[in-house]
Amino acid sequence: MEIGIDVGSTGIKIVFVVPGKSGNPDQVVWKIVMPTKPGQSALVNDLIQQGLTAIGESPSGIEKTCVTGYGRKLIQSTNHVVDEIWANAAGITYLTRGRARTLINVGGQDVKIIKLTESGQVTDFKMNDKCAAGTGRFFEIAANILDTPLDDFHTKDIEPVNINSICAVFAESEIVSLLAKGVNKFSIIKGINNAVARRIAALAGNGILDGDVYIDGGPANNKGLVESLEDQLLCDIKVVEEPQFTVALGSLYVD
Amino acid sequence: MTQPEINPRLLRLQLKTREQIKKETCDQAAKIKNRDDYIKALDPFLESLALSLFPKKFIEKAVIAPVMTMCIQAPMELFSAAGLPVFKLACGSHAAGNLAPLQFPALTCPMIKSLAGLLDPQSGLDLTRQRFVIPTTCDWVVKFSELTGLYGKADIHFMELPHLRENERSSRRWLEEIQALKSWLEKAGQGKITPKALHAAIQCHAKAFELFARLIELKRSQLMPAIHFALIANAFAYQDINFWKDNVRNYIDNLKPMENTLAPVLLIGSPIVFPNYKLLHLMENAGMAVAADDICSLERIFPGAVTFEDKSEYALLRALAERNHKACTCPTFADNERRINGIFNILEKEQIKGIIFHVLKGCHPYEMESGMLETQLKKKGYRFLKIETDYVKEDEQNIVTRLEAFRRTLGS
Ligand code: SF4
Repeated sequence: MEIGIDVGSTGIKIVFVVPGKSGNPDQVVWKIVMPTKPGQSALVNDLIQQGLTAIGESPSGIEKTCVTGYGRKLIQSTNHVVDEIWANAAGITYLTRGRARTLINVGGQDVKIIKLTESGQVTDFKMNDKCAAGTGRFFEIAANILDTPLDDFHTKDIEPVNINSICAVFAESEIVSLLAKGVNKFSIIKGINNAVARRIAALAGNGILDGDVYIDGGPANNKGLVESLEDQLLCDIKVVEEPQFTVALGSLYVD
Repeated sequence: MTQPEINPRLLRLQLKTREQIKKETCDQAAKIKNRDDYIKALDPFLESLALSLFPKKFIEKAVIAPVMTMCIQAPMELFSAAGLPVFKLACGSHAAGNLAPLQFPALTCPMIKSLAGLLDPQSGLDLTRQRFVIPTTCDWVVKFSELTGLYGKADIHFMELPHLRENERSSRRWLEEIQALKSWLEKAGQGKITPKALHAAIQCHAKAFELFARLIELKRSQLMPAIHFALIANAFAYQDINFWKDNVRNYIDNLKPMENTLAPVLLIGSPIVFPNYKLLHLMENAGMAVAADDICSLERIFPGAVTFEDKSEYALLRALAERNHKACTCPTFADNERRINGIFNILEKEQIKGIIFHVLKGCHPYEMESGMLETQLKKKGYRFLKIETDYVKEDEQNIVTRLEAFRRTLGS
């Protein structure tokens, strides 16, 4: 059994994979996502133990452990450490059987746009800098204030309100003041989705999107964001199932 | 400048900032001294750079008061011929920016902001008694003396840089600027600059350029670490030229053999100034060596060799003017084809596949050129990564992720 770990800035994701024998696909037998907190190394070990217990395995059954993500260097006892951009590319390539040519990853504290080949080789990428505006962290704050899970951020026929700030710090005051003015919650949600989509589109510019475009990371579960992005980027955007695990899974497939 | 009464909070801020600058300097020096490739021959460069962060001390130690210069367009040979040392106005200290006057906009070029803080009039340094030579390169440099309150108070000689190069009129105007600088230096220094003194200074700098070319060669063959190169290049602006040459010779003689395991890349963009070697360290940690660069504080400190037809004053000044104008690839020029051609030449000659473009947040000239370069370089199949940052440490993790991923795109 192989274990892929993504120690992200806001969440730790772990997948247990049993490699497929004689041409059969690999099988994800257990997975978990947990908010990141101090003591990541101990937390990861606990989660692995939890997984082993859940599937009735012992540590001796682990053939390989790969780790990626912001906290990758904090985790000892792993065989392979890889950056999350290549892990992400490898994960999406595995899941789409090499169809993805562009990947938009909305992570906890950053957004990446990755251009890749059929075999998952990264040929180019863009990543926002240290600001967490319009990232997973921002959505988390918004979902909290609006008391609406990300899965319900889906809004079709409603006029969006104009959101001035998608800064993770100022989001709270802006959303609270809009709610206080009596603005419909779903207008705010649509406004948020549009504002984040505009930011991602600005990062993409007009050059990096090619071929089949996919999105992953936790916020990819927000169908409203995907629609806004399609509007902004003028292309179809596909979402893989459980998009928050692509990076952890991909860490196992980077050469 | 008459010293206004200092409010106690400001006084505390000054003391604290100076402590922080000292700490930044010591931390960077310790980082370099802890490396396996550290050799004692680096110490004179480290010492000069540490002193450069305390201009008052630097000036007090100098036998002749130095002229403060910005950018690389004013030919150093003229200063040498006038018998005047220079103090380069450049600063890589993050802490120094805390002392920049309030009128600096929030998004100011970090190099300029730190510099303004470093020259804080309360530091005990009487700036009105200093002499400045400022070529009008980017907008930040142009407005620097006004923003710092020096304009009209200190002795500032501006050199109006024509932002077109491949043009007769501009060349003529620039030659006039060089002649005007010579006259100004004659007044500021030890009298008339004779053609003989100028020729001797040109010869002396040519020897330094030869040594520098040797360093570039060593770095490009990865026989010398890029961090060492940065130290030596940065220190050039704060040492007597003969002292610098001796130090470089000593360095070359003592250089340890090193293993060449890093992927070579070309670093271009905004200047890298001591003690802000963040990007250099991070690149190395990510498995890349700056084999070559096109940076005005590193390989470009010498704009090139001076070639003159005869030893007359006119011929020598013309040669200096041409070298510091035509051969300079500062992004503030309107016609900068030379820059891209130069970059392609380096890439081909050194067989480098990847380019890292360093942009200091607020440095518009380099930022403006980055997009054009990216398009042209990618069209030819080169890998390109733009890192926009400033002097803070907080974005290191984000930069590391990008650098490691970029390193992989270069293959083995
Ligand atoms: S060119 Fe860039 S780095 Fe240099 S002074 Fe101007 S803005 Fe600053």
